[in-house]
Amino acid sequence: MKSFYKYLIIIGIVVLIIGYLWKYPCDSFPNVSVLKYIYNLKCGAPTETNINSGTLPNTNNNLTQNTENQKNNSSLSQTGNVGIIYDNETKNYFVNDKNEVFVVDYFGKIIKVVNGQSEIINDSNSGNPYQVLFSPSGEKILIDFSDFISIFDLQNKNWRQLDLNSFGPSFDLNNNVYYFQKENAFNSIFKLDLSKDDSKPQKLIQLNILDSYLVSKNKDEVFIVSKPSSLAYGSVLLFNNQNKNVSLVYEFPGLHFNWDAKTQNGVLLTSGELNKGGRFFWINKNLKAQELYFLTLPSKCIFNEELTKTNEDILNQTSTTSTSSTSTLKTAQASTITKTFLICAVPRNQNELKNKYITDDYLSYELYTEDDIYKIDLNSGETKIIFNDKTKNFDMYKLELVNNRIFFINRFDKKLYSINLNQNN
Amino acid sequence: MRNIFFKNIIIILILIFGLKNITFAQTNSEELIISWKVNNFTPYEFTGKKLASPGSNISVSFDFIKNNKIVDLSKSKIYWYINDKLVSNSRGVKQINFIAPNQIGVPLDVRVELPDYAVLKTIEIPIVKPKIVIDAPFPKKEIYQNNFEVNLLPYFFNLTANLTEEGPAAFLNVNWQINGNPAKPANEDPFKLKISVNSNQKTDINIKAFVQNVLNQLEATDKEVNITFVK
Repeated sequence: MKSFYKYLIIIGIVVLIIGYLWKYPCDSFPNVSVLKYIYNLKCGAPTETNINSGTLPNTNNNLTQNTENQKNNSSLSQTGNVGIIYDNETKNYFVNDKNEVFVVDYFGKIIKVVNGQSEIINDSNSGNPYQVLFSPSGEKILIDFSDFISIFDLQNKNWRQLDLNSFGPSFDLNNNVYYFQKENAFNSIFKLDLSKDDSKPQKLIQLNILDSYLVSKNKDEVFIVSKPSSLAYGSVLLFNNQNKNVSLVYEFPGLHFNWDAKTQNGVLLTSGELNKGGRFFWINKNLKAQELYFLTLPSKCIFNEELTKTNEDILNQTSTTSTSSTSTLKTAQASTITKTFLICAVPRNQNELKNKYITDDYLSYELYTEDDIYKIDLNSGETKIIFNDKTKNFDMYKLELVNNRIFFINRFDKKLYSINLNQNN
Repeated sequence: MRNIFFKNIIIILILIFGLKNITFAQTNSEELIISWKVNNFTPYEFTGKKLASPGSNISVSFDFIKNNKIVDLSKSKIYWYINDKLVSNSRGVKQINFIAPNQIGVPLDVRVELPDYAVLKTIEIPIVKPKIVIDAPFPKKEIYQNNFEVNLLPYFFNLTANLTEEGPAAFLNVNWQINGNPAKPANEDPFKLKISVNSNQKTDINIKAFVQNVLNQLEATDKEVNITFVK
């Protein structure tokens, strides 16, 4: 009987330890070595974790930080060649392969800038735009004037207005625009094919979702994303236009999401304890998330695919000589692989962000940041700092990488700048 | 005796962890997606979520997704609760509208129950005080020019819906101070303060703004920012 109680006490202690560790936060590693094994069972760092509503990968699951590389780059001070591209307030812009820059200013004016020369393409004079979007090809410009939304075609110089009460628009890669339209108590999703002048909007689904906007995922799917706030829960839903399925992808406090349809990658910011600070994630094409070791805003990140040459030593031939010795011939063969990089403007003062309602403070202009630019190889996790000139203070957003130049709008003066990366690489 | 005891322990553990997983699987196939929207004032280019302040008109809506399809609930019982108080039990009501109570800092609980499907979900809607931001877009809050301006941005004030013609200036009283002394804003725009520094030395400048909603005496707030003029 005594041994029974002994076992009972031992089991009780074990259950208590398991229970304690089950609730133990994964970002606090236990000091007691006996507990570490059980801790690892719960918090061990898998390479990828699917973040669904209610679960996040633990903080050990950071994308690898190549600290050695980072230290080297930091000491080099990557300054680049910084220049102003458009010397007036810029709402949004597009740069094509020919280095032609198209700017929409704070009055809805469309301007073409080539080699420093500006030319007004269109002056709508319709007031201050709430939002400006360029189609992926850059040929269409959508301007949301709050009261109405119009799309300008750069080739035929025509405007095409969406139905009144439209909001939350997004271009896809095939010249379609998706948008919400308020219909009585409902908000329906519509699709408009912009490749035909006489196309009619097609109603896709009727929903009861408020305060959201659309982000095109691919040719068949659209994300429905809550407007972001650090103080409120937000969600990302996925709507499939083929089978009309709707599914909840993420639901988190402070959710702030962005997606790049070209490379099928995204970024996600969530808020932390008491809604301050947060965690920042890279989302891959399968919607799996990996936490990044820095904090920034989704609007400060872009993705870029690069063809990279690799020299591989390939065992080409093995020959046997008459003396029975064996020699191998190795030939260096060049091959190319496509690498995807995440490029982010990252606030220098990371500690300041931890005490801020990041999204709300930033979007309300209570918070400005001074940024460096990180380039992260998403295959290896290697991080390079490609701009960290401490003599220059830019709060960068709406980044674009074209012909090895990074373009961005500096929120301090709202002007359009570029950094030539050729010096750095 | 000992074997039976261990068997029982193992069965209990399997049940505990097994049931946890089963519950998770069930919640994945059925989702209540509740969203909300507030109608109050923010500057036109604010792209974040409008937060509710006391007196704001809040709309809450939902969709129920089962097996990835939106379920038609037009004939289903739908119970709505605000802070555990039943506010609607009509069939097919998927949206409610109400005024935010005066409980700054205490989130409002809104719960939707679908008894026909045995699902419920509660969301929290934060209630905040209207805020103002003095937009001083200078790195490290240092300014190198003698003449500069700052802008006042009001958020989450409950103004009338018809703002398009009159603008927020008609409904918000703005007072400015520079280093404790009253300062006059630009004539045409009370939200803009132009500042001239007549000094050849490094100067600390404290700018303070007070804003009062003329329609609601309770909606008043202030904000200050410190800027350093560097010669």
